[in-house]
Amino acid sequence: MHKVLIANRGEIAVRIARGCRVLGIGSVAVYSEADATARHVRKADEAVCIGPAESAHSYLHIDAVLAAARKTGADAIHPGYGFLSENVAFARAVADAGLTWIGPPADVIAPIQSKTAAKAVAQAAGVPTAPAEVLEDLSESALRAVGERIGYPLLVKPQDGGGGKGMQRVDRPEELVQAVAASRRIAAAAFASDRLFVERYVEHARHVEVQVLADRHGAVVHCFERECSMQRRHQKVIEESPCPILTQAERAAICESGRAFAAQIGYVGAGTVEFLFDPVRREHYFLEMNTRLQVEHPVTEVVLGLDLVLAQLRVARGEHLRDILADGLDQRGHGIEVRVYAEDPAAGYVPQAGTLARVVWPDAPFVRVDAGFETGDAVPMHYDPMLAKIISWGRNRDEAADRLVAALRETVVHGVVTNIPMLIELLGHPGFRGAEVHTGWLDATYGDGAPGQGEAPEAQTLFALALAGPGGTQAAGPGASGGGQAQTQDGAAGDPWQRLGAMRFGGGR
Amino acid sequence: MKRTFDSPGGARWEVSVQPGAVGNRVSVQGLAGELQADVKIRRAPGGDWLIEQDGITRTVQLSVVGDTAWLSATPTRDYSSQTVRFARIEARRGGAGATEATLRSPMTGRVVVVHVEAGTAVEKGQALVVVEAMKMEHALRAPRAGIVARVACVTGQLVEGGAELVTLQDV
Repeated sequence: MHKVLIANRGEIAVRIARGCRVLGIGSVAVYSEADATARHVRKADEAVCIGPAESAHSYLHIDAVLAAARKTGADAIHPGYGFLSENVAFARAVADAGLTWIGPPADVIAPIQSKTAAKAVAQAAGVPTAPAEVLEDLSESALRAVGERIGYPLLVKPQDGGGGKGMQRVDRPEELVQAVAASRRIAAAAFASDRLFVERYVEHARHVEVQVLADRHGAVVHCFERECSMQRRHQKVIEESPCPILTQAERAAICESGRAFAAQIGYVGAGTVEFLFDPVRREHYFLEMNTRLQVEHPVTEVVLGLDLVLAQLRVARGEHLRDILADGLDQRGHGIEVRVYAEDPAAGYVPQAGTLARVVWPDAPFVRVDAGFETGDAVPMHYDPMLAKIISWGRNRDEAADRLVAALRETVVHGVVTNIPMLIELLGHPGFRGAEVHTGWLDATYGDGAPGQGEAPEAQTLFALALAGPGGTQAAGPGASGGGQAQTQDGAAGDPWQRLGAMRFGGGR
Repeated sequence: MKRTFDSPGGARWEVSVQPGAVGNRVSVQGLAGELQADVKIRRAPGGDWLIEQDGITRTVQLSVVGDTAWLSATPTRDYSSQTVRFARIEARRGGAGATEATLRSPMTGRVVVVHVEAGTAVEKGQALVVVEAMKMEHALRAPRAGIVARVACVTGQLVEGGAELVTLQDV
């Protein structure tokens, strides 16, 4: 493996290029016309334009990506996350083109793409799944018996439906008959099928996922767990490792479940097996497997001291896990990650696009920034608006959280509205500090409102606005602070070319 | 010289500056009353603004993009930091008391529906324009009641963040 093409954009493309550099492997970025000067283009060794801004014609365009690999002589492809990362046709096309696919083979991921099939695999591997049954006999006594076996609260769901339509939550046995009747009516009208099933409803469920790693020689290990229960409408906002509420026995059980699932399907590379953890019954249930590197992989990295991208690259070139993991795998301290989004929480989380007039990422001990953008970069409207991930490590959870709050306080992003104030509030919230956050917590706590809607700034800070705001006067330098020469500001503040004297080239690089 | 700024939270600030005894005499008038001081200002090479008042310096980060200012500072009351965006309000025009309010696109996107035309009377909160960005539609609502003075966009148009869409005038 000499040169890796990275079929992605943003922070993850930068992250992968850096991994390649560590191993002395060349990196190729691909980009759409909207990303012509993007940070991932600048951080890779070479870059190729693969089409217009629309993802369907660029980052999702299999032929264009393969053509870029041919053009640059790349011999491997890393898909990152999102885009084509879990696309079976792409994995197959890469292999057919004689290139190394940095991920599990198409034949491994195809059989677990449907949730039903994946659940059957889990059961075959002895991995717990949430109790569920198809309703055959609708007599009251039969329904009561089913309810008894599943346990309450439970969910009644149309078997051929989707989108939550006809779904009924049932808290007590005496409500079951009525809920089934209602669900059947809705299902028959909406899906032309009144078949129903019931499954256990996990109250205050926690999202706990297990990182796994497998080589091409049959070895499979787990790399412990992450918790990602802080979610807004199923979008993860804060992730951490380890999960703060598991006992050592529970941790060992859930991690072994993750490993067993990966082993069952002959997995290769880095992947994540997701579970729901029931904090009352103290049981975990299989949800699904993500057959790629996850956005939140850094929290595992900082706690284990393990570089997962390097591990992926080394697995792809045929190395053994026993060599890759020769230095052991131990959880040490606590890692927390936040996702910094260009979005306006106060305006219904509207994604923001625009030019970043100024960006200052934190630069502090035990803090890591995986950023896709810096000052001057454009945030295009076409893609996911995540700007960066900020990750902290601490000897314990509070220390990690305090460090992350401090890091966010020194972060400056001008030009687009971000969710940073919300992240600061959430990290300090007693619910988060008390490790009480479940997957519905954020939506239940804030409803349609948004955390982090702060008060007005102190008037003193507005002095800057008076002096240098739009259309204002500005002090041109230390000597000009005496209210003398006033200058009209035209948006060129901070333009380095205005300040640069004679240019020097060369120097001692 | 006096200028007026709006923060998205709805606060309005009047700030003014003139030459003072030891630097600039600035005054800020807003929700918290008026504050007036003589300050000296220094600008660090990286772009930070250092504001010195009575020998005590505080640092703020300020970026100006067109008519909008982005200001980051650490309030001393709780030492949390925040970034606030201010839009400068256009100077008053027209007859006595007549004010305009401009609805601007909060992001770059495509105009998919224009609900109003010049002369339409609108209520506060009424959807005026729908802009699509990143596959989501966002209804942009009237910041206050008024009469539509001007519609500056058409259906299908690609608009930049900050672009004027609809301008209202008083009833």
